[in-house]
Amino acid sequence: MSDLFKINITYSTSHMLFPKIVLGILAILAVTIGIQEFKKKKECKAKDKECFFMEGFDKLKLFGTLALFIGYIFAMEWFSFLPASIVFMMLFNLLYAGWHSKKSIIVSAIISIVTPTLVWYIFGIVFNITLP
Amino acid sequence: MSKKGKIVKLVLALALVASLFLTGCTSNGDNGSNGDNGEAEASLTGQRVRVVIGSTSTGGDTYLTSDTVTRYLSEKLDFNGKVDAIGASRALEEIVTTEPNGETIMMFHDMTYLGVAFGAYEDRYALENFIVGPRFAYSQLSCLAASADAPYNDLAELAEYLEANPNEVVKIAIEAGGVSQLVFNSYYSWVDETYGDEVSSRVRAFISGSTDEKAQALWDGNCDVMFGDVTALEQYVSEDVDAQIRMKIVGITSGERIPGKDYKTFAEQGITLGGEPFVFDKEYSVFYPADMPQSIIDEVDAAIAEIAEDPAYIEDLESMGFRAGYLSTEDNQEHMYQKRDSLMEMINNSPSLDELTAE
Amino acid sequence: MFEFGMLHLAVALLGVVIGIIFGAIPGMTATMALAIFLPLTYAYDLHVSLYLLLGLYVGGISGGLIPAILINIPGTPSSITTTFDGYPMAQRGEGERALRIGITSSLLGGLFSLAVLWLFTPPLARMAIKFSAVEKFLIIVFAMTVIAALSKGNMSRGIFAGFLGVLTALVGTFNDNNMIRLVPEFLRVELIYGFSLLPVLIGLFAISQVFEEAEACMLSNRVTGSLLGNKVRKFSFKDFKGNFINIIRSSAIGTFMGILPGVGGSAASILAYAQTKNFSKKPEELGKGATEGLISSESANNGLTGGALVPLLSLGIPGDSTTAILIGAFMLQGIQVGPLFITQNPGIWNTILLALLICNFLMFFAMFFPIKLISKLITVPNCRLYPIIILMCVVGAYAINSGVMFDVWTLLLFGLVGYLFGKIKLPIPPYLIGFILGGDLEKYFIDSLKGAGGSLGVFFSRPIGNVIWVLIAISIIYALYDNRKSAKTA
Repeated sequence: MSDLFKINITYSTSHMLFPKIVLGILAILAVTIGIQEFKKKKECKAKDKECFFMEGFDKLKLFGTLALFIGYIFAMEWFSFLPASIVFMMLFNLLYAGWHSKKSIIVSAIISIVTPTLVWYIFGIVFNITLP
Repeated sequence: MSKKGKIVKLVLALALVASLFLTGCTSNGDNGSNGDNGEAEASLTGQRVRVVIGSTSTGGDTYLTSDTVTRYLSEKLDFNGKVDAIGASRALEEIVTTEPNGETIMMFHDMTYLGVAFGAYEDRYALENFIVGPRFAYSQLSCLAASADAPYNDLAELAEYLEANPNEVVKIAIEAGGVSQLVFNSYYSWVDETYGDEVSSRVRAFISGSTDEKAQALWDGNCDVMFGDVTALEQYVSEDVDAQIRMKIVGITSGERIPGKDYKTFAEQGITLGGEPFVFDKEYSVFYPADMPQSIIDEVDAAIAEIAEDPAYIEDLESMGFRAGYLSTEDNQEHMYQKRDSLMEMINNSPSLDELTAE
Repeated sequence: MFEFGMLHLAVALLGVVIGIIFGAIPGMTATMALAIFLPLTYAYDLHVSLYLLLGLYVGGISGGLIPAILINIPGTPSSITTTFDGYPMAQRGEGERALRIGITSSLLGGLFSLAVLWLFTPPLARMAIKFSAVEKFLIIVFAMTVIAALSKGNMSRGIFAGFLGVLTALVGTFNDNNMIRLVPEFLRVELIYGFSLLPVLIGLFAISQVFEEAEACMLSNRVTGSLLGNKVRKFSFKDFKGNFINIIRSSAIGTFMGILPGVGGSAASILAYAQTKNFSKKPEELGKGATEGLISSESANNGLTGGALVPLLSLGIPGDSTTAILIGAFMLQGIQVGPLFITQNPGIWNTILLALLICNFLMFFAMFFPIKLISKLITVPNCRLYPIIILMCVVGAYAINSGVMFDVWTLLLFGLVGYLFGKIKLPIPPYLIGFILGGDLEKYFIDSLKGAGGSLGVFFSRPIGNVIWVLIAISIIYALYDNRKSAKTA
């Protein structure tokens, strides 16, 4: 094989060789996709505007999920696994199942106490897994 | 409706079971709290202790030694110890950041300081930033092995072979930043001093990973010699093994031969480092985060001192090829700092891996 | 010359059941189950330990099909391809049937690989050594051609997503020179080992699904078909009719990928699935709930179990990350696994074969009979199920590297990434496949070049390698042809 088909591998920079190749491929693909999209747009001009979110999406649940998740992570760091999980399981359940009927709230409460406790007991105590 | 009712019933039943479990657990496990012993003498007793180790393998030397000593320590000091194989980078990060309350300690070997010395890890992981505890085991197993059909039988012959055949190059598989790089660099610098540039320039490093990966590189013909532990490699030495994977051990780094085996040591082949015969034992120690209460350090010291005398512990380690060897916190600190400083000169004078691996 | 008794049967059953639970919980894997039980085995005799550990292994690999089929979340990386056809079946109301097919395929795959392990270990081990870095690199490229097959009609986006996945896999430290790349300065410590596979996997599949459902108000119904079972197809062993070759091929691919040391086990079901699609008479059905695809995926990932033990017991080199932990069990008892293991320890060798056989059947019975109960999972309302899924994913992510909170952030991050991908129409499976294979792809690319002094010619210099090149070419040409055909009809 001629030297044209040779890649010299230098130890201290070998970590960047493959990422550069992948980035190159990605750039080519991005251009291809761009051209394809451009063509498509031209073909059907009267395309109705697409929205990022679906129509009538549930703002509270979507952003609530994100906020609760972030809160949950911090809560585990501060209050350890079990209390944080019970509180946040409750909040997740209330968010998803609603808080208007008494029965639903009771179910939420039971689930949010039982599941984290079971998980904590089985995985944390019996299996000795490292929990937050 | 009825479905919901069913779920409620199911959940209630589960709750009942769970509460039974819990009462069962609290009644026999009420010594588990560790938050409120700030006033009293700090101790590991009754705690959950997480032992992080600098390897991700659960079949490797670090895990085997750490798990063994943790098992004995847990019994002696009555704590709930668990070895977490999280790897060198994470273990070092853990030991410089964790709270010194005994919930997390580290067990690791010489790579603790070698990683920083070779520049593979940042200076904030230097030994000065945490506490070196007692040594609990050491190994005399580090070795270099070559394919069985290689035209040399030991490392001294290897150097002569290179001198006699100016077109030959020998690649040695190592892992960057660890004990294997130290051994490679020492051998390289000895060849350099004894046979000169021309010969040493044909001793090349082949960067690889774990022992498995090095062995595969050897079998592929990508390297000629590999670093490893005698216990892991000597099974490939036997005559009964397929020629394709058979190896021979060309040198062990410990000061004396392994009883009953005829593997030559580096020292008896005349390999020197800084004028002294080259000897390197891998040592396994406990490490604590800075500001660890003295009472914990003392109790672990006392416990390991006793464990190291326990015939069962000695037997356990020896069945895996390791040696029990207690050094107190104080002695081990002096020893480890000294060991590091004695190796620094060679490390600083070594060519970079860029040069050592260039084609 | 083997050990077996009630105690052995009991621990094997325990292992299998716990393994299935670990496999079924998103974020917990067979590897983790073994790691947890490893220290306990010290107290027992090696034979007893092996029954337990092999039970965990077989159970853990198999359990992943439950959430994959019922809630579209792969319980383990090797059940990703199970979701492709298993979940659409469950949506049609055929959850129970899909589970039964999956479990039976698992058993068949497991038995196939056991037979291979029993009869052909030494010659296969000799063959495995012939696969150098070059062949491994090409096999991974071959496995990646499934991306092209998966993204029919939308090939450029699929391939883009695949390489984006590869790039994501490269984040972190490069093992050769310990240098960190593609990492922002403030995350240097957290990302030193890059993103972990499990949090990424369950983030992309589970958490993104939670976000999508939250957006849709948690009301959507998983099952669109009838649940009454009148019109729904029931399982019968006739479902396997016409799949004989498929099972053999998929099990063989799974076993072979297990035998190859250093190529991740998750590649097994991906490769097998791709080949089933290529050979299928009705390739357009795959991905829409075809039994063929489900059978292929599950027989391949259980084929892995026996395969991965081949290099372990004959070369001393583990075939996948789970068998790597098994080494610890032998070492703790002072027994070396390597080329002389089988001849020196015939008793243990026989125990391993018998234990594997028993564990495969136990796995089958432990999952086949309670299936009616298991499949009820699909009827749990989303608003109750998702909080529990979040909890389990968080626990799994945190525990996968023995307690790293950053892995939980990774979980959330990739949940958002997956959600975003859905919005900008980038397919997730190719991205994930790229991520899974990316690390090995780089490793063997660089290793090949290092061994050859940098010459690219090395990739064409080996006979086995050239055969794989031909397979790659066929696979790509077929995918292109398929893509054009479906683009025309669309």
